[in-house]
Amino acid sequence: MRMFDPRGRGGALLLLGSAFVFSGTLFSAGARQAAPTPDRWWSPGEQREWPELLSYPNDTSVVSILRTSKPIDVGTHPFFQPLGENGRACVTCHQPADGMSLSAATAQRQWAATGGKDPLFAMTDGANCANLKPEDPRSHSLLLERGLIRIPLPWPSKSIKGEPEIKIEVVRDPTGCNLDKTYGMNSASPTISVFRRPRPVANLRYILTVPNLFNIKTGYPVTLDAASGKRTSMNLMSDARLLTLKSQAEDAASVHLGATRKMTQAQLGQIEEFTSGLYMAATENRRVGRLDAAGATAGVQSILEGKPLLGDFIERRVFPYFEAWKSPEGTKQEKAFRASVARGEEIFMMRPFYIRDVTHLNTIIGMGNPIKRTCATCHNMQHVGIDGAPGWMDLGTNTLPWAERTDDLPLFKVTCSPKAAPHPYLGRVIHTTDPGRALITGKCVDVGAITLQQMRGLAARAPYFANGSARDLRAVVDFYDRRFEMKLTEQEKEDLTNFMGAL
Amino acid sequence: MRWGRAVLLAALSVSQAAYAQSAKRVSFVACPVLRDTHLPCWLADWNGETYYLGPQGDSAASFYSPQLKHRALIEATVGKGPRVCGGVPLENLSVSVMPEIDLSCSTILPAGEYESPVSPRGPGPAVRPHAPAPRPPEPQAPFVEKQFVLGFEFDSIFLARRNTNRLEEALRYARASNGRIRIETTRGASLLSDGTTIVERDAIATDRAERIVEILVDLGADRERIEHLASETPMPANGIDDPSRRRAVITVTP
Ligand code: HEC
Ligand code: HEC
Repeated sequence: MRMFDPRGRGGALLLLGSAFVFSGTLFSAGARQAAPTPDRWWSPGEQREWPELLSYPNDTSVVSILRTSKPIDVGTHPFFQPLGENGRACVTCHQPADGMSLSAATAQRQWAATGGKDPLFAMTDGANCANLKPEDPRSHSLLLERGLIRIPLPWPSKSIKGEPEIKIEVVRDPTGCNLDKTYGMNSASPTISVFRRPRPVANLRYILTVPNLFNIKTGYPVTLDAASGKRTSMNLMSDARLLTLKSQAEDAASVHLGATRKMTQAQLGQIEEFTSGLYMAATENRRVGRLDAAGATAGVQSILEGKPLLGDFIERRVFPYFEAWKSPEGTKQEKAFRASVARGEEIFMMRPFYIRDVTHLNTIIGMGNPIKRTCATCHNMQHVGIDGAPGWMDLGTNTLPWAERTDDLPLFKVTCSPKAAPHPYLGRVIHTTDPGRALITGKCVDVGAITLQQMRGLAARAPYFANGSARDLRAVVDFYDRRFEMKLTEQEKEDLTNFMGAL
Repeated sequence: MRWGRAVLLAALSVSQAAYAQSAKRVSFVACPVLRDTHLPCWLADWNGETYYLGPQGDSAASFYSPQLKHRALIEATVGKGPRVCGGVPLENLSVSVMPEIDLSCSTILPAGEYESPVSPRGPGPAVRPHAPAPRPPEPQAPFVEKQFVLGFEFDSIFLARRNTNRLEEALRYARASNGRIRIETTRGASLLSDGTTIVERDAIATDRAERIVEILVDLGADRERIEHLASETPMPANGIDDPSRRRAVITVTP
């Protein structure tokens, strides 16, 4: 069995910053400092080792990545190579220490370490807009404060059949990019910029699973990938604009890496093989040690062995790991924490509240608005907590009236054609910081819809939601408490937070 | 359309005879109302009476729950059983969500003394997954002309799960029999209990037909072997079986 043992695998575990002592697995930072530890940050083109199990501590836990593909030579593997002009590689934004995403804290650390010269801060999309002053933190405020990357999307999108149902106007343009003469909506190649968090590149077998031929949200078959002749999950990216790992990688190479030459089929194959063999999860918690101990079964192994099945069942739960912690063992402190995680799981699965006014959830034929259900209704796929259906929905994180009141993101006014049916809950005039799926389909019903992210390795990759609006897991819980009037007690909030941190 | 009238007449003669003897039909447009029982139930008020529509469901439920913020067209037969959740039960129920928003549809009643309606699942996860439906057998020769009927909500072209299942079935049959596919769609109307008739929006029969063709082609059917006829003349409304006349009939001819 491949299990994580921080004492057993030299070099795999890196300790930086504060020296944690994880009870149960007790290791000391001092002992490791004899050999120079490679940095937490993976720079493109570096020659270093990617072991079978790679683990990094964060504030509350250890998040590990299990590699099931054959060993790779990081020095030549395309995921780690600066394939374009700006010096970035895939790993720049998909960092192992951050659960294969990128936390805002890491962006800040990298800024401090390089004076803003790291390729991460390439002006193309690592800045609020490409035309701002380089090496000035104000030009990169969205990346530094919220971990956001600029996503320029042509508008109207080529993927829209016929005329779009929606008209988009810029109401607020704090980055200047949407009204810019070169980069904006009225430029020679009209573009809308939205700002989104990198999504974890791991556990992809789940993300790519196609549970049904038909998408019950649209009544259409899920899209066919012409290259492979196979149906796709439509669960990649916030807006499902790319459907396969290959097309995603090609797009990323050109947009994020500034590659001018196409990747070869061999390179694409290498990226696909490596990334689809990565399994990532929290494996330890600072307060109780391993998350697959004392009867619990969380950690990477469960994802590796699991199947991408619907988990919205009492007898087949989404994260079926913590049953034993309902009557926990351990010291008083350990017991308290384990019990809290188990209660959090119970709340996630079982505590009903009214889910209301969420397009592509309440509008699913049969469900109704509102529907009294639980977190697991939407986060329903076992081991990862995505929605296999596929998962784009207008939860309200980016759309008024529910979105966080902020001045630092662009605000768009979307007007739906009187000829089209209105958005089922917001009508024909909608204010949003990210039109989401509608940027790809041009449909009124899709305005604001964002694809659920997976829920693993959360502790390593704050902030949360596609627009980084939840600073920490507690803020995620507070959002839901407000959005769905859940009336969670202080204890319930803490339990949910502890539970999510243990994923 | 010759075909349209024939089917229509057949439908009328059967259903009218059956309904006339016993059942009272109601058809009305009203705000749905939710009762906050442990498992919520859906109600609607009309003409001084409260009707029970059904329990909160899921995507596999036979009763399609309505939407607050939208009025609904309710077409049903008044049932005979005891009240449920405070409402008179309905049978042969069709619920259509009206596409435009109506913010006055916002009532959630307290549970009061009412109990949860009987339902396969509560307000949370179901107990266990259904056993997967057995794969339907491959259609076998001899092949004959066969019809597959898809029903629609009023003013909607959305294909809900039971329709997409039937569409797949039709396509399987067409493939196995190397058949041609003819799609005939209607534009419905509904005679309400207050005597008014409402008619579905313009061009809806065409939109229904085009959507079905689009999906069949996406699933690999040969566009050359599909024809479609959309009848935009509203179907006559009788307040009895209006829901069954918002439809697409897919005929596979081997
Ligand atoms: C500049 C930062 C950046 C770089 C470099 C980058 N990505 Fe990403 N990646 C993102 C962002 C941001 C998203 C989410 C975009 C969205 O939601 O619209 C993402 C999403 C993804 C996803 C989708 C995951 C999911 O579950 O939806 C995959 C796969 C991925 N990237 C792979 C790659 C590969 C392969 C490369 C290198 C060729 C790469 N990325 C380079 C920022 C980056
Ligand atoms: C109506 C469906 C729905 C329900 C119910 C729901 N979520 Fe979500 N969740 C979403 C969607 C959609 C997103 C993505 C939104 C975005 O990024 O803007 C999301 C995102 C998240 C994320 C962010 C993950 C990340 O990587 O940023 C977390 C954590 C989360 N949800 C936890 C919960 C918890 C806890 C509950 C129950 C209290 C819950 N969700 C209930 C739909 C839902």
